[in-house]
Amino acid sequence: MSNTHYDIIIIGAGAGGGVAADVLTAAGKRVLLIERGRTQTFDETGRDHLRNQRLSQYGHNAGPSNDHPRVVEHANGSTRIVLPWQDGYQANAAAVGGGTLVYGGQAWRFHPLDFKMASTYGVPEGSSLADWPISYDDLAPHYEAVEHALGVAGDANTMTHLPTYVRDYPMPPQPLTRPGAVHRRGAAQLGWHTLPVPLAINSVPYQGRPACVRCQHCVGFACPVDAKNGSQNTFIARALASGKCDLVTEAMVEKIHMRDDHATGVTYFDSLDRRVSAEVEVIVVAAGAVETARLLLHSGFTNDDIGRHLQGHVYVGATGLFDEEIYDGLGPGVTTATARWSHGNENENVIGGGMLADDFIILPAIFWKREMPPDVPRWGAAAKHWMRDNYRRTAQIKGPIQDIPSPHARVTVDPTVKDRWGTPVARLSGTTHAESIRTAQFLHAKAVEWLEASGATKVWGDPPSVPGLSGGQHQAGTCRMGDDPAESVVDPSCRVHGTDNLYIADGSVHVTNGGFNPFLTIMANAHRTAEGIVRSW
Amino acid sequence: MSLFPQHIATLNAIADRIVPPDDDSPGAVAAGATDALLAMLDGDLASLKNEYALFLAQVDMEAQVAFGKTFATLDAEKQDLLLNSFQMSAFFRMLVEHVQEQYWVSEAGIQLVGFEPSTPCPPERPSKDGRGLGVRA
Repeated sequence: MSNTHYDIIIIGAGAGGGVAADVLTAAGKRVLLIERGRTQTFDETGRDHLRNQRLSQYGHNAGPSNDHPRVVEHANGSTRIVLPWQDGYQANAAAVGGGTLVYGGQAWRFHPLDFKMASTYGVPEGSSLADWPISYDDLAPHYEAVEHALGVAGDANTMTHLPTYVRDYPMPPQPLTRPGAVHRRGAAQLGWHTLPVPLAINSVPYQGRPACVRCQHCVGFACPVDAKNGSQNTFIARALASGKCDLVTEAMVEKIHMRDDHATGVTYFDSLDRRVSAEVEVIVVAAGAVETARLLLHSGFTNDDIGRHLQGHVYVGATGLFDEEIYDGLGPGVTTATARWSHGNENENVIGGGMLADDFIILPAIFWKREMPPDVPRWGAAAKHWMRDNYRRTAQIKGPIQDIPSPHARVTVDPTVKDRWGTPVARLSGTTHAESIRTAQFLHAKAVEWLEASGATKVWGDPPSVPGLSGGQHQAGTCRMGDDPAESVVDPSCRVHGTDNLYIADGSVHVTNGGFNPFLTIMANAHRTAEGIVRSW
Repeated sequence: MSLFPQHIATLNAIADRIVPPDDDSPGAVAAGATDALLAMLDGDLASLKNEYALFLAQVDMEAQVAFGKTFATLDAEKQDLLLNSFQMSAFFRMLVEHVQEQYWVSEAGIQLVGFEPSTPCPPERPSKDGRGLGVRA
């Protein structure tokens, strides 16, 4: 057992942990950054169409490893053990960079009303819908800071659903694709405002790395030319270059140790399975909404709110068939969105709403599994010929809805199943609130309307009909932020209630998860949290 | 249980009815889909190898009973007739997906749908509003 002193330990080198490491080392803090995955190159991450973070049919390409099973509890109380690449695990990548190593990089700010869901819409019975204790205005300067530190391509003038930006994005939007142009025409016919999707992908060379080469493998994979900006090649790279950050990989944190209200340090298993202890002034947990909650519970925290309100995004989507070839094979593929239906849908009896956009280029194998029309046979010449004749004539509109959280969507510590190191694993139970389905069905109808206006002659893809458990790559909500310790886990500075030096800097603290991809909000809030730590410590 | 040459001949014949060859493109076997699937049956799908052997033997037995020939030696029409009788079999539906997966990750499948662009990516840099680039109307 070794014994090393750092100022701050950060658990998890993903979106939030990376930002925290950068801000804290820039302020002169000595940081130990602990990551259970490893540093992965493009070649190691590969281009396996069946084993990636978009389709993990037989495994995936960026962790977590099979050392970390979870238990899924069904509504009838029965349970099953799931591996990280199997359905129900709610996986996010476990590597240096976390999900941002292989994400699509949709760099959305949340809508101002995303922070005020309960006061805007009321609280549906049985849901735990609540307002954030902070507002869009509190996060706006931090959104701006991370947009520039990370590198986001977009056009602030088109973000008319948000308050005016102080500074535009540091790069212009990605070039338009043919499907994007078609969808912009369609939206214009409907009178819907569209905007270029802000992406954490270089549209021009930025910070010493090149522009996107427009390959077809973006979301789910690492970037061949390092034009995709994740935590690993921006924030973490800067933290390491400062000389004040040690990064320990393939290390699994066992416990956070407390003395009264003070976190004294952690124990973790290193890559050689040795138990290591490290003492600190401050601990920042950024392990993702499932593992952060599990770690706190296993470390002895008893706040009943820990692990509840697990949410991600219910996604809606539809595929349209066009008379002409619409596919141009130019990545990353997401170009055009509308925030027209993010809020303001009360007349339709809908809480919140969501963003809609065109999609990343879809791998043929994923198209076959998820996007085929239901009336095409699954085998024979007709199936093959349909793919041959129509893959390039289709386009998708997809989007996340504002999930309505439930206190019963929950992470607990499984009483019997343990991981390779003998630590209890996470058990997942419950579902999103049924109101989420109503919102999803509303937004799905808008996706269909958009495709038809764009000229699709046939549209398919059903809306969700049964509430499931949300989480996955957009996982959030399990250690929600609030003023009242009886109804939240962290205070507005993201310090765990009842402690003086334990903070959380990932999606766990999101009270609600917005109707947009959440990583930029995770980063902006981690930036805010880390600056608060610098001021306090 | 191992897969014997007879099993493999049957699997190849089934796979080429799932994704048949055309004049312009290979079927499942020529695309390498069955070779890839056989490798999977010694890897990620090893737990299904015995069931594969049983299913392939069953298909062959039904071919013998119905037509007096092994499945692989039947003509395409009779092969389809027989496979249609397995439409309700969960194992057959899974086998279909296994073959399709390997076809649509094969070079042949990827080329068939035109996954990669036929013309090079535009060299221009995007304009501020993102318009006018990458679009070939």
